[in-house]
Amino acid sequence: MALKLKNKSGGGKSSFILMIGDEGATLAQINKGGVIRRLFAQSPDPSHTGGFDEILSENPSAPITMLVDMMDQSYVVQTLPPVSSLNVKKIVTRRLQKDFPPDDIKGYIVLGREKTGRRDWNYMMVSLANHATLQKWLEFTVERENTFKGIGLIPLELQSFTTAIAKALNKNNFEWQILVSHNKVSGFRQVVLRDGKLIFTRMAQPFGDSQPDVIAGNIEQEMINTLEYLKRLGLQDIKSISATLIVAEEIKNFLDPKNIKVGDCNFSTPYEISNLLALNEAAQAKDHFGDIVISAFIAKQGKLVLPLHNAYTKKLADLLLFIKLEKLFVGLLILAFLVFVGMTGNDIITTQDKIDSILTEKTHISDDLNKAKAKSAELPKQVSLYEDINMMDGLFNRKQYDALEFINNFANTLENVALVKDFEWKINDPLKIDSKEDKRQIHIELNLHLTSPTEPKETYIAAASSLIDRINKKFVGFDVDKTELPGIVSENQEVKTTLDDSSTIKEEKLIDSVKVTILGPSDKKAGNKK
Amino acid sequence: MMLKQIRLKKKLIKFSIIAGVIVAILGLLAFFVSNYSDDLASEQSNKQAENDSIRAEYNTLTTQYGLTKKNKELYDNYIKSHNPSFVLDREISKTILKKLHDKYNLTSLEIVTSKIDYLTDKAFKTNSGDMIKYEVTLTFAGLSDSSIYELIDSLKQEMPGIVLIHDLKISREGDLSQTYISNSLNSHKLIPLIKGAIGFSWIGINPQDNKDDAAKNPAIGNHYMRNGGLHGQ
Repeated sequence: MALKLKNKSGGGKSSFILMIGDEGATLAQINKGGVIRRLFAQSPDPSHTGGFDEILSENPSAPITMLVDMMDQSYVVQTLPPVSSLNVKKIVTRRLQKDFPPDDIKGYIVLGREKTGRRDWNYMMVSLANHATLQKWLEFTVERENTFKGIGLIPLELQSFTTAIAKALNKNNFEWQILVSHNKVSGFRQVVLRDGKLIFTRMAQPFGDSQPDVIAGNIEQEMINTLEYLKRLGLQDIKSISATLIVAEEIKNFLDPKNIKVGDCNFSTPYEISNLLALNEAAQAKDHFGDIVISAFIAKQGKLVLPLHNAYTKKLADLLLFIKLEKLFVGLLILAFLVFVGMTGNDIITTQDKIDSILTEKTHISDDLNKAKAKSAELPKQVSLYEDINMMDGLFNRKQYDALEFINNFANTLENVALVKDFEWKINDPLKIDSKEDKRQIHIELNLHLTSPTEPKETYIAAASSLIDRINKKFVGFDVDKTELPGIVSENQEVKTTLDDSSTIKEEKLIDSVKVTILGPSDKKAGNKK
Repeated sequence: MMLKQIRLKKKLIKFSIIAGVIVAILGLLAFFVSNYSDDLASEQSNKQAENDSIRAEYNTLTTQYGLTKKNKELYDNYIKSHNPSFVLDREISKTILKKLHDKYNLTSLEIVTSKIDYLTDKAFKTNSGDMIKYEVTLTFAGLSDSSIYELIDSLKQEMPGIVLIHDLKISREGDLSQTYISNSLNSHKLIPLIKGAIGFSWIGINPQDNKDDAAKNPAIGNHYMRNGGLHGQ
């Protein structure tokens, strides 16, 4: 018959902790860290599990963790040779198959490697007898819609529970920690930790009268027995033991620390432990047993120290893992698709915007092109002819090489002091020219007749010299040369001398003209200018 | 005892099918989206290429327009003071020189025109035809040097092509005196006071199509000019 300890409807994400023992099972529904419902069933018989059925069916998506607190559990510490971690697992698996019955539910915990010597591996091999009651509970649990998360063994799980209590009581400096919990499903579960590691566990059933004073006596006797056993495991000083006993208030009143004889002794009710560990509504003030408090603590831990599976639940776990991975894969795929679509969509929008912009630009530049075409159509087609003519004009019609330009310039220098009798203007190699360089040379020869009076001589010489200066200045960049000036007698000139009556010597130059030669330009750059 | 396993297997198969369908749909969608995006990118690229082409054509046209306009302006400026034709024709040169002979009262004018010469140097490369040249020598006699200068100026302006004077020789033979006038009256003709010679390169363009024929028959150049030719530009 199911005992409904409390019934509340839960919302949000729930989980179930099914704690089973030889005396029945408790089912705790945990929601947001708090216990919202708890039920007890004496056996897996359908007549007792109706309540379990009901709340499990109400919450098919809530996973179930099974905690086993039964008698037939084996814990064997093995030292294995220092092989690789992969090989040591094979050895442990072989040892598990060899050392334990094939039907047992088995597992192992790596305790680490020796720090000295060969660095051997230390393993704890664990086995749980798969007897009929456990099989029935497994069948009841596993075949539901709820996900089965595995089987946890109470002694292993109580390691962290015991440590948490010691820490909360500020007793964690003791080498030895003993926890005794009076559980409804199993009886008195004892676990002994040395330096935080499980070293010993035993379970005792209350016997005889169920009066609190009798039960308290039983507990004290069990503790004494345990201490005796611990001495064989190396316990030297009982003062190094801190013990915590989780019992009902009535029993607590009959317990005497003097009878237990350990260094520190703490008696707590489940309610007090619940408050101590801040396990929300894990126990009521009048609660007698520690099952639900332990369930709530383990639920709060989130995962089991050693989740065990039999062959069937392993298959189910694998299938669930596949489904989960598949969902994850599809989820990731959808996410990747959304990211891809998002990025590609953004690209598409950007590209479309660019295309629109290009099309707008096309309209404008096409208009510009048409206008340019229309404008160009107005221009004549003989572009090359114009280019040629302009090129030839620039090449051949250069002012400096223009005969009329020279004549005009030269005429300006005369200033009525001389007449040009004849002249010859000549360009050597008239086509020795290109767009970059003009190598042409002008050669000019002029025969000048000076018209100014020869007397007085100084005035005449000054006028003639001035003419030559003007020519030089006018034709900068040209070499200007001249013959002797008329009226100036030099040794190179022929003279006629006449002596008159007054014996005055009158010399007269026979040549009255000057020949000017202009050659250039010597500055080639000047010749390139039009 | 095996019911849940069967259920989970069915669930796994069902979910696998759904996952397969989802993967297929998403794959197809991704394929279409990707294709569409690629098509759009390709379209963008093509349209951009079209625009680039239009822009390139526009730039070429604008540059060409600028050059053409500049050349046209230079040409227009040139023909304000020059014969617009660059087709050389020895016959028409005679006509022009006859006119100038009369205009500037030359007492004599002798013209020697060389055979046609093609200017093939790269400095004289032209696109509208071959650059050609005649060497011309004018030997003249006249009354005043200023009329010779005007003759030269007219030659440069009225002759087709370019008159590149490279030789000019003028000598004064006498003065305008009473003796000169008496002699002229007695001989019933004008006695020249000025004598000289002008040598020039007469440079022009033989239009491409007429290259060979023009060399053989200068009248083709004349025909070209009469039918619009460069006068029409």
